[in-house]
Amino acid sequence: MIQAIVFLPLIGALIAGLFGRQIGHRNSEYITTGLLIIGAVLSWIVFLPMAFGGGEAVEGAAHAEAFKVEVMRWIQVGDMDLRWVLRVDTLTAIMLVVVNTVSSLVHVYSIGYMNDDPHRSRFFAYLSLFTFAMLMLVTADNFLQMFFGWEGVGLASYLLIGFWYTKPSANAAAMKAFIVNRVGDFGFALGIFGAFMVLGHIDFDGAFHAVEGAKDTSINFLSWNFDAMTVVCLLLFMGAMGKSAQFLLHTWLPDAMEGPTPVSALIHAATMVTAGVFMVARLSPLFEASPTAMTFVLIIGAITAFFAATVGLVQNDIKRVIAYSTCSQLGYMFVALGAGAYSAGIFHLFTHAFFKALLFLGAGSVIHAMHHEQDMRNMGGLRHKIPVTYAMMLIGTLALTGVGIPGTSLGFAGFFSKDSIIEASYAVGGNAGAFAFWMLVIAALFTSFYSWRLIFMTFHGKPRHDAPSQDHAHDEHGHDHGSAYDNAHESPNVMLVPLYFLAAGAVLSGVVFYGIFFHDIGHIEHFFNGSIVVDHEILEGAHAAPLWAKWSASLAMVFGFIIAWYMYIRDPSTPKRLADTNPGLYQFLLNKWYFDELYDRIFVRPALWIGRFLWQRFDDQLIDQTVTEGLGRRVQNVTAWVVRLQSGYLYHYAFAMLIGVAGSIDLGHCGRGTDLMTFENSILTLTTFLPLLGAFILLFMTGKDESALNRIRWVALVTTLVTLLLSLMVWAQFDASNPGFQFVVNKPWIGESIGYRVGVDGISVLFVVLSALLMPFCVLASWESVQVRVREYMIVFLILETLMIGVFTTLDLAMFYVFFEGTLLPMFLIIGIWGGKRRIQASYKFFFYTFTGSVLMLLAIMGMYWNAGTTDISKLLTHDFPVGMQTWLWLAFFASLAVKMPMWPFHRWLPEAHVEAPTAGSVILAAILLKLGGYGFLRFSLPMFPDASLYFANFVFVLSVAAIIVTSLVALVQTDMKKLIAYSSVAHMGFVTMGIFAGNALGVQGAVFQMISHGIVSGALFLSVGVIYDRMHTRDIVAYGGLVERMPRYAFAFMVFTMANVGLPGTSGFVGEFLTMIGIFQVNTWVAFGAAFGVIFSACYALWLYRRIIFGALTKESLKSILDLNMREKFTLYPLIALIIFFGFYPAPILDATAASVNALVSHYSAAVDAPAAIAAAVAH
Amino acid sequence: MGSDVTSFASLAPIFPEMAIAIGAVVLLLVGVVINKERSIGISYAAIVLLLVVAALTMFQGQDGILFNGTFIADGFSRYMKALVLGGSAFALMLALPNAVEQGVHKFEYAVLVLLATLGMMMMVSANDLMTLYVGLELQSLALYVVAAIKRDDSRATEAGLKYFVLGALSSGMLLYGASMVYGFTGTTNLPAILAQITAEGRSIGLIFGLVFLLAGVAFKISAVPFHMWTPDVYEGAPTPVTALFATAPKVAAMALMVRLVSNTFAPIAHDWQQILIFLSIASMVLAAFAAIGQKSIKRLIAYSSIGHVGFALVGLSAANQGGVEGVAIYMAIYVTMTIGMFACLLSLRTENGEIENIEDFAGVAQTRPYVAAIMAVVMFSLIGMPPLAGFFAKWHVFLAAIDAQLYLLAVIGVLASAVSAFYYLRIVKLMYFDEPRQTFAAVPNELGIIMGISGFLLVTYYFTVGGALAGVAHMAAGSLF
Amino acid sequence: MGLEIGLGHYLTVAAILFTLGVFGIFLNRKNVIIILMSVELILLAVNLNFVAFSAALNDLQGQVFALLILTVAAAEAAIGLAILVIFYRNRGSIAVDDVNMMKG
Repeated sequence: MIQAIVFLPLIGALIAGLFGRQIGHRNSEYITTGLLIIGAVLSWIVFLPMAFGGGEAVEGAAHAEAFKVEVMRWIQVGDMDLRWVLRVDTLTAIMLVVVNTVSSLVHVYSIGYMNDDPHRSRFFAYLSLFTFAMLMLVTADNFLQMFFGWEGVGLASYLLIGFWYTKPSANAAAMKAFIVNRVGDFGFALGIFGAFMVLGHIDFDGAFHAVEGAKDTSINFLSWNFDAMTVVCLLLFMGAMGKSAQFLLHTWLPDAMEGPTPVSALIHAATMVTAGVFMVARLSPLFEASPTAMTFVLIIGAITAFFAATVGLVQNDIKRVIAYSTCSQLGYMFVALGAGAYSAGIFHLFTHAFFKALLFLGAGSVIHAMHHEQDMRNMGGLRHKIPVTYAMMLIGTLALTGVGIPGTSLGFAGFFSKDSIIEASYAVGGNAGAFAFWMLVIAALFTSFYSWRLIFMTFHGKPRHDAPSQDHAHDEHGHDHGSAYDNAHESPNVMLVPLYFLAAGAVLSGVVFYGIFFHDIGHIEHFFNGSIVVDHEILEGAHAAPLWAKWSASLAMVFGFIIAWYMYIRDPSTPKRLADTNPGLYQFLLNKWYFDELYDRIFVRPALWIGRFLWQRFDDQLIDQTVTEGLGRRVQNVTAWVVRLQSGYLYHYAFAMLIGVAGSIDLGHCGRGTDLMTFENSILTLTTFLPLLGAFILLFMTGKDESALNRIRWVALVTTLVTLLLSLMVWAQFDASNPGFQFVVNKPWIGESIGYRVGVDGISVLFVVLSALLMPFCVLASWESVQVRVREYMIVFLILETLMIGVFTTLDLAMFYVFFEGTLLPMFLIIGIWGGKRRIQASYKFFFYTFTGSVLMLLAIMGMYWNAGTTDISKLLTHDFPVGMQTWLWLAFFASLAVKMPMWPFHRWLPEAHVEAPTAGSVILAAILLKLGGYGFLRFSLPMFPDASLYFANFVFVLSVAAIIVTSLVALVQTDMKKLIAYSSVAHMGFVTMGIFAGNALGVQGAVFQMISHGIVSGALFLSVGVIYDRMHTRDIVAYGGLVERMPRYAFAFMVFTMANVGLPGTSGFVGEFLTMIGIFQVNTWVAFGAAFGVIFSACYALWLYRRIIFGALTKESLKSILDLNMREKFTLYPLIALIIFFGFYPAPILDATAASVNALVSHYSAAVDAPAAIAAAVAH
Repeated sequence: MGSDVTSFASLAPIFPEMAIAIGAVVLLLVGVVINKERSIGISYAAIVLLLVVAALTMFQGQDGILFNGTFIADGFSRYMKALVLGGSAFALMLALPNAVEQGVHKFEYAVLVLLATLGMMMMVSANDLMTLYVGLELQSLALYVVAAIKRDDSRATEAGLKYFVLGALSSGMLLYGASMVYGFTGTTNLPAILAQITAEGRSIGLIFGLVFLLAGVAFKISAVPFHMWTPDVYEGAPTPVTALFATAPKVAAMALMVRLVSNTFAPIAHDWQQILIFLSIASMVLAAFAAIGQKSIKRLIAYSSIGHVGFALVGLSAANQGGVEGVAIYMAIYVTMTIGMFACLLSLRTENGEIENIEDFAGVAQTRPYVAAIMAVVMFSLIGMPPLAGFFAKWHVFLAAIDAQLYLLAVIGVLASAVSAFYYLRIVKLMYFDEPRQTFAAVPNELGIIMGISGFLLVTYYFTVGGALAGVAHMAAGSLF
Repeated sequence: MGLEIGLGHYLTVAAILFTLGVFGIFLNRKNVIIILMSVELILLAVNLNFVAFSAALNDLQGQVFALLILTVAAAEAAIGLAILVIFYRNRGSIAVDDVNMMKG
């Protein structure tokens, strides 16, 4: 049943999203709504027995303690065992009810509200998708699943806020929501890493049990020692602050009102924003362990409650008032949590969901009636026009302000829950408690004031439709000002019925559930049954609060009402007078304490400025002009000088010879294979060299006409497909439990020094598959875009494929170098011949950067041969190089691999190479060639030079973090799509190096996964750019905008790729980033901190790119006739989408294949690194 | 001292030289009598002779020491002779098309090449300072004339003059060194010198002798700073002659150098190692930079050959058997690359004759794709890109250097090769990325075949000849140790 | 006390001759013929060396070498003059400074 509850919305979302066009809007609406209603009913069926079933006598036996349903495996690495598990306990059941009820009502309501929108099925798909993500969040059984849901709702929220994509303000608000949430998630992610490190468990039950042991331990975080639980809880709470729009991270919520009103009701009032509250409650055992963190939660909650209420006082947009009210009410909930009265917080969450959704939907009804007018100054007197809505809003307001008679069980929902919180805060005592108590009471007064102000301004008084609109942002929807009031009409029933249900909840949910949530401690314990901590002391303290404290909120409420009545009914000129006499205060509040301006100054502008600075000064001027081009100039100087020496005069020549003699006197002190025929022995060789065979065949295919060219393309495609098939056979036959090399062929060739040795282990097999996998896509992508020298192009590509696969299959160091370097040639030609305008410069730069780097590696290879007497990699892996030598070898390898990777600051060649390369070239470059560097680090640096790797690890970390942050900032200011993605590649490679040198299973497997995933994602992104480049022949971001209008399929694909690039859970991009970060967190928290910080930037540039290309109004003339994906492009992009999502949810195939090899590698590494330490320790004893 | 030549059969080790000598004289006589129009036939005959002798030397050659120890035929000399003969033969072949325009249509050209080859073979087989000198002079004198064979061309004659003057100076130096060596060891016989040095150790006089001797040989292999003649002579001489200069004499002189340092003067390796390292670094670095500034393709080739000699010397500097093996392989691959390069160069002809400037390569890929492809292969091979043969050439010598712990030398070497990639790539870039500016005549068949062979060997080196060549080079080097 | 003329003296004279020859080549900027003469001077120095050593070592090889050098030197001079003649035909000058068409 629980599966049905969780997955029905997903099914609905998929149907409406993918087939909406085919089945029609109406059907999409009915299907999604119907499924949601079923879910809601099922949720109540789960919930009611918990709430009312059984009595106190059979405590604990009435319903099973949290039951769990395992869906499938997710990530297993090292000590971490992650599964998709649906967990249902009381807390979950409450959330299920809230989410599904509100969601189904909002669905129904939307049928009416969105009646005339042309993209309704998409809207419903998003709504259902959101519901699914939210359900995943609340049913999470481990941190990561929660994070998945967490990010999922973020995505849905982003999509829904920006639903009206032609509105720039909506797009900006959507991005802001996503990015501010990312800031919170940055803390949340670090908190998860910390929790995993401190508690050793990633699942909740395990973690909760471990809390006891972790109390009073301290961890080193950012070079300081802190109490472990405090650090973890504060970091986790940072996530809650983002999602629940708490003070400092609240700025996105009011802007989120740009979305359609049902969205505001569902996401930004009832469900998503309470995720933070839910999270803290869910993790209450953790928070209980840290009084400091609890106090922090309490204070932040109190400040938010007060702050948001003050801003709410003066807002004129009807939805913004309610938004600030939501913000404020969330503050209340956090106060309850901080006080330790978790059940009270959840109680308020529960009741708030009903009355706030009611208010929003009511506001939506008003807006609907007024034809999208949102400014209250243009309303007034509407109670005659829309009486039902008026009544509903009134109920909502009564519930919100908490009308009721203290001491009795008479009152609206908000009365019970809010008063519970105020009493609980009183019971906390101390300075913090007193502060929170008074803040809440004052906030209650303000709440009452702004709620009634809303009612009076909207429904009472005279119509003010002709008042001049001062809020220009809504002008476009404020059409027909003059007739808005006259045309106002009551909403249809499909919109009103949900209001009735919610009104019922707003009236009843308080009184009915008061007992089990707050009043009766025994009931509470029985009800929650261990799903949250129940603190007897605080609850009893709250119940014992003095009478004045219990009455204070109600009194404040009454005062607020009276003031509002006086100012807006009795003497409507008061507000203006007040504003005029206190202009500073008024402006301060009106501008929301100037937070947006402040953040703009502190974060946004500096980030852009730094990005631009790094790009232009550092990249362009320092590295390019001074170092690279400077070197070029020095070479020319030397050349000029040398050439002058050659004067042409005989006597000069003779003189040179004499000097030579004088100087000299001074100085005078690798068999051929026979049994390659079996499958075992031949498969790798075949996989490697088959493309070469294809290239050879192409050599004889001449002809210039279109059919001949098509034949050439087909031969290339078939060759790559067969190669892919072979590589898949290798993978299938591969024994994942064997950490060693498999399918080994070992034949001496030239002497003993160079041999033909091939084999794959768990690490390399995947890269072989990845290389083979992307090749067909490249061929497809070049089908039409490459029209000159097609045959040569395909030949070069096939040769490149052989070389790339060869790099991964060879087990001979010399051969490795041959393949490694060999890849340069075809790539050089691809960029140079089929590239863009500045292709020659780019190809040269590419060539010289990588070539210079790798010549040093050649020396190291020779040094290794000299020391070990063989170039057999499998032998070298167990060879102990002297520590002193390791240093040099490591550096020499680093020189080559870091350029290839490329690590910052050796990355300069990459953006240009990408920009100039044809699409398929970029794909290969980003997807495979960059991985050669990471593969080299894994294959050579770590296992062969462990001491040096340890020694240089911090150095690598610094570069990695620099890469992640710096290149992300640089990406932010790019105007060329490919360049932006190229810089993003550099940033993603930072995670790889970081993970590799973390040297633990999590980090290394994360790095491997990240490489594979990035191979797919970046490849997909470049292919996407290629799609529009083929149409418009420009990669300038400015040249696009509003593509979703004409290319919805493309927009969808690009969205998936963008989200994978951002590392959204559920995409393959997440798994790698997460694993590397959790791995590095155990080694160095600074690095993890920096990397997590970088993730914020990645969201910034990726979403901004998406917004500028896909969203916005389609104004450009040239884009008006652009076509959506054709069949070939669908074949190119859709499989990649499938892969990205598949590996996001089920990365096991990759992780399992690598596990044995990585574990062997890691244990070898740690043994090698620990050995000297162990000896030293033994000697010391 | 009785003669060791007792019967005709005992002369077997010197049969190749005798064949060439007799052939040269006979062809000279024939050339005098036959009609001038048919003198091209002399060239064909010479080519056939050279190839036959090369094959016989390779497969049927006999080892032995003759003429009171002044002449030696061993594995090393056979290997090098085969290279020399092959190089000469292909250089002659390159001269066949457009011989008249190049001024190499005279029958004397073939005869002179034969004589020069004979000199080179004597150098390779020299086991005595006297044979060494005579061989060297025979080679030089013939080549002086060859350089100036286009006698009405002012540039060719200037090339000849420069080559002659500086060559004479270098001969003088070599002789001066020889006299010192003779004086301080009491013998001119190389094995005897070796024995003497082993017994007595080094002396200042001997070092002086060694240095002058090496200077003389370094001139022939055009190692910096004895290279100054090379660019001018390469540019001035007719292109087929340049092709000859760049191949066979280099091999012979290098063989001489190898025999001297790694065998005769092996006991004082420490002394000559320093010199060779200096020559090697100077050659690699100077050539890399100087070539960048060139406009003439032949001057560029000159600097390229200087650079490659530097790389080969890296192997020799290692002073071990692996190094000599590396040098042997390097020279073989170098000859292959050079022949291929000249074949490409000579096959590109416009209405104004052969191309001279690097810029003339623009767009060749579009008009003459086959030539461009081979040329690109050669260029990448010269850079040392795997998996082309040039990479393996460098691989062997650098391996030897690392083995001998000459790390700095190896580092400088690879950096120089990175710089050198600049000018090789420029040609590739011109051919492939630029638009054609002129049309080219059809490629003569002979050149097409030579190009094909060269390109094939370079590309498939690793899979075809690589193993065999390494084996033969191993044996050749073994005979010196 | 008469002056005993020993090997050292011969060698010194030879060295001086050799140096003169070498300097003759690169200090002379006038005439190519002078270069040819300088080359002869160098060879003379070498011959002197050989003969002196031969006598000192009581070994004939050195003298044989000297004879060989004399013959070869004759051939060398002949070829050198021949090249000089054709050079003069083309340029009308044999000044060393004029031999620099090719450079760089």
